This record gives sequence, C-alpha cells and structure tokens, in this order.
Amino acid sequence: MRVVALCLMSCLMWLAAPATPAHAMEIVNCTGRPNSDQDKTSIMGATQSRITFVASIAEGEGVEELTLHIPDGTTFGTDDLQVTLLTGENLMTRNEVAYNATVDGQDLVLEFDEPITQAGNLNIIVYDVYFPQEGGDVQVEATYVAAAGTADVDDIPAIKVTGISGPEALSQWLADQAWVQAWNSNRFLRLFFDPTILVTSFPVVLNGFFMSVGVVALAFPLGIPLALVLALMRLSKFFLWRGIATTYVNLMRGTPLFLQIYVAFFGLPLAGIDVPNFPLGVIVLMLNSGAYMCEIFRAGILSINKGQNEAARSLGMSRVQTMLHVIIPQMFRLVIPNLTNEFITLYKDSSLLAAVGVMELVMYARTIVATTGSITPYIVAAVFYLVITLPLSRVTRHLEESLRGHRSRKRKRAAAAAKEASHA
Amino acid sequence: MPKNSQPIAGAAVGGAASAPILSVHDLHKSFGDNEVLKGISFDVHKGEVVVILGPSGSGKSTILRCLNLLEKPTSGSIVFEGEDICSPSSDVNDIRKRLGMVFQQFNLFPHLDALHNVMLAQEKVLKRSKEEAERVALEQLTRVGLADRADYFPDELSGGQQQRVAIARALAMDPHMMLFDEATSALDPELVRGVLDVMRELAQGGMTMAVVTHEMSFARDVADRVIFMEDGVIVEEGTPEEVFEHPKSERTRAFIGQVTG
Repeated sequence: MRVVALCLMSCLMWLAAPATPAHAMEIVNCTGRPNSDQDKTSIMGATQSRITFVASIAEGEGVEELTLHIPDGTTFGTDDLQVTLLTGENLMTRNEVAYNATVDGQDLVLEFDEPITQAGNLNIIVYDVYFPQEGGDVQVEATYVAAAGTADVDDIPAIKVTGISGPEALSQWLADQAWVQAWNSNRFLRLFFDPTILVTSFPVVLNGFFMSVGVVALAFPLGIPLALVLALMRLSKFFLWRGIATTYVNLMRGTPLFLQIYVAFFGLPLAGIDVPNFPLGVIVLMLNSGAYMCEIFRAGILSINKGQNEAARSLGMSRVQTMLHVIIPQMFRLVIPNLTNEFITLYKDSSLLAAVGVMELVMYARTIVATTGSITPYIVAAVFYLVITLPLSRVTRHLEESLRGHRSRKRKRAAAAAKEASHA
Repeated sequence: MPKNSQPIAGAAVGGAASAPILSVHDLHKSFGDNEVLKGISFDVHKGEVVVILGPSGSGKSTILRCLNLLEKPTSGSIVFEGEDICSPSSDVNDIRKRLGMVFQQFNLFPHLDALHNVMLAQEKVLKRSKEEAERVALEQLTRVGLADRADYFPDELSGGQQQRVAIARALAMDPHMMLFDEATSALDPELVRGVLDVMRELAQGGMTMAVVTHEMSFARDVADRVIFMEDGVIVEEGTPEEVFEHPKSERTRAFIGQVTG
C-alpha cells in the first residue's frame, strides 16, 4: 500500500534500495548554518546558528506530529520557528503550516493543526541554535506520528560542527551583547578597545609575551657576566684590555639596536652562518645590553669608597680577591636600580625583533591587526609590556629592602631564641 | 698613670739590643710637586709603642700608608722584619698580612656583618677554614668587647663599635705590628674611650704599634716613644716625658701647648 503511495522523487531511491522498509517520511536534508550576515561556510560551536530540517512526506500520510530531538549540549529557541511545506512541481509552492510547538527538554514537539496529507517537503528551520563549543557531530533525531502510527525518520545526516576556543566563544558571545554593540558603535572605542577582538587577541598575543620574556630572561642574565668582564677590562691597567672594551662599548652604545639586529639577522645568513631566530635574538640583545650594563658596573665600582679597597688590601687580600669579595658585592647593591632600568629598556627593545620576523609580542599583535583591521591587539600588547615593567620598580624596592631586612629578621629570631632560653 | 708604661718601656729597651722589627731610613714621598715626606728615619723595636704627633698636613698618615705600601715611597728604604719592602721582589700581600692597619674611617665592609668582616681575610688570605676563621673572629670580637654584636652590620653599629670591629679584623690576621691611622679622629668624643681602651690593652699585651693620633693623654700614658713631626720631617723624638715635659724645639712646645690648652 505505502510503496504505491510514495512520491515520484523518492520512488527512484526506493527502487535502488528495495530491502529498506517503507516509510511515510524520508529525510531530505538536515543542515546547520551560521546565523550571521557574513558568509561563513563552516558551522562553529557556541555561535548563533540555525538548523534546517527537510523531510519528504508521501501523499495521504496524514502526519499529525513531528518531534525533533536535538542532542544535549546544543541549545535552541522556539520563538521564530519556520515551518513550511513545499509542494507542487519542483516543490516550488510554499504552504504555511499551522502548528503548535512545545519544548520538552531537548525535544521540540510540533503538533500540526491539520494532519499533512499533501505530498511535499516539510521544511523546518530552528533559529537561535548554539552548538556545543567543542564542536563535533551533532545528530538530530526525528519521530513522527502519522495515520499509520508512530515512526522514526531514518538516516538523518549528522551536522558537523567545528569547535572553537573559549576566547572565540566569549568573543562570539560578546558580539551578541547589546552593550558591546553600543560600545563598538563608537569608532574610537571599536578601533582601539573592541572587546570581541580584545578577548581573542589576548591568548594569541600571550604566545608572543612568552617569547619576549623568554628572550629577555636569557639575554639579560647572560649579559651580566659579559658586562662584568667588560667593566673590569675598562678599569684595567693594561691599555690593550681597556682599548678592546672601550671600543666595544662605544660601538654597541653608539649604534641603534635596530641596526645591530638587522646586521645580525640579515648579515649572518648571507655569510653562511645560520642561527635560528630565537637564539640569535638572545645573542644580539645580550651583546647590546652587556655594553650598557658594563657602564653601569664601571660607574658602580668607581663609586665605591677607596677606603674599601685599601682596607681589603691592607689585610693582605689580592686585587682579584678584593674585587670579588669586597668591591663587586657592594657594587651590585648600588646598581640594582640602574640594572632594573636596563632590564625594562631591554624588555621593551625586544620588540625591535619583530622587524626581522621573530614571533614576539608585537609580531603576534601585528598579525591580528593585519587580519582584523583593529588596533586593539596593539593595546593588548601594551598591556603585556606593562605587566612586567610596572611591577618591576616595586620589586626593586622590595629587593633593596630585603637585603637590609634579612638582618633584622635574623637578629629578631636570635633575640626570640635567647628570650625563650632565659625563660626556660 | 705614667708608671703604667714603665714595664713596657723597659721591655722595649731590652729589645733595642736586637735588630728593630721596623727600620725606616731616609723616606721620601712626593705627590707630584708636593713633597710630603722629606727624609724620615726611625726604628721601631718589638713590643714598642711609637706615637707620631704633629699638626695636620705634617705627613704623619703618609708615613703609615707608606709602611703598608698603600702609598709607594718615592725614595728611601723600609725594612720590616729584615726584608726591604720597597724592593720590587717583595711580596706586598705577605707583608700586609703581617702589618695590621686601622683607618680613621674604619672602612668596614658594609655588606658583611661584624663576624664576617673579621672572617673574610682570614679565609681568603690565611686560608683558614670557615670554622677556624669563625672561632678566631669571635675570639677577637670578644677581645674588643663586641661578641654580642657579631651579627650586626656596620651601619647598625656606632662609630666606636665599628672601629673596634676594624681592630678585631686586623688582629685576626695575627699581625706582627699594628698601624693606627688617627683611629679615634672620626669618633664622637664619648666613643673615643672605648677604642683607646682597646688600644691600651693591646699595648700592654706587648703588641708592636705605630700610632698616629691627636690623643695626647694616650700618647703620654701608652707611648714608649713619641715622634713629633712637622712639614715632612721629624722635629723631635724621645720618651713621652722628654717630648711633653722638656721639649727641645720651639715648634713642639707650641704644638703641645695648643692641643693640651
């Protein structure tokens, strides 16, 4: 009976698959689509989307009710459902279908006012759909009630959803918020402080932050011994040592770091020496900051009272011993503020490495700026500079204080112990 | 009180028969055109306390600094324990560890506490173990009455305490002779006594000392011999009694009159 009643279009399909039991309702398509105005081809999680469900109905089936089961993790709205029946030749006639929609958990139940008896494609669009953020295959299930009883719609294709990251999801969510839209309606705010780009560029620029900090965290400590040796050479009695160190320091301080980076990154490969970007960046910054720190150390050593040297020497200590155990330890304490400034300068100057393609802070920000046209990623980069530079001055002060503080703590502990002993 | 110095003076006289521990001969020192020492000669015997007096700028400190080779003499000879320390072949560091020096400005190492100030050179120069250096340091700090300040840093100590630590630091090297360069001049008056007491005890313990000071009572009480100098030359030399009570030169008389009122 039913086989005869099949519509023409699906007839061919059924002939090709004669073993399949007969059904009154056959799936034509089930797709997801982003709801935004932009033409996006992929369906992404946590993004406002819609599901289009199309099934063919054979003539005279009298479909009374259709239940769409949408899997857990996907949310949907029922306010503007679109339910139509396409009939006629080439399914060009659009018929509105009167229905009553109820939601039962993840089930969307459509009760039709009149049983559908006309042959055609039932076309249902569910709006306001948010697929799971992590993506994956979303399998919609459908059950219908017809005159002949209840049955499932078989072989519904799964909707392939591309997962997105948390920040992207947050960005999508923000883009839908009224206050964000109001904020972004101001051109200045949108350009420099677009919240949707802010949240997405943060994790990306963070990679550059690690890179920048990594370069400086290596270059700076490596520059300290270099600077110490240079400073001692500059203070040496032998003109050769003095000459070498002075020439080096003048060269490095007298030319822009930018130029030094260019020479190293473009010159060395041409000379056949291939050093990867990261170590080369570390080396160039180390050589540069070594020259600056040399001058800091030299000034520090010179500023230490001559009496210190005389006292140490009068005890029979050699020049080297005096330098190592008396002068340099005192010098370090004196130069901590200058050294901090040098670190801050170096950290900021590491941005110059962007010019030669080292993937540091500015470079990451620049790539997002290039794709979004918003300046916001640069603002994010600025924040990443500030999180290091601003607290550093505080840290320095604490460091200076703690050098002093450990004494009184030590004494307090001893005093407490003595008190305890006297009580006992 | 002068009686106090008698036995030591006697000991010095006894030592005078043997070769002096330090012998300075015709010492000259110029800074550029300015000749500060114009031919200084004197001897110091073992156990003797020599006090050098004179107005400022007379070259007293320069003598001590030359003895320690902190200044290089322009000419003349300094023989210490039989060795000409001005000769290029002499080991400066070896000489210095036998010659303790105490400075007007203390010059403690500000980054080390009192104990480690006294320990440092012991470990680095005498190669003493940490334990031994610490033991000696505590011993010397006790000697100058500062054992309870061992873990204080210099800027937490009074000037007098700092100077006593500096003395302990020099003594820890077991020097054969001590040089005091205006050790009390930078101190507040009430702190001077503590330092002088330490120096006095040292002298009574038989330490050979060359002391540049403005403390006349110290010179009078402790010195075996007083040298009065002016303008780079020794004007008068003798026992405290001779120099203070019966000065031969008019200059000495004027100076002593000035400082003692």
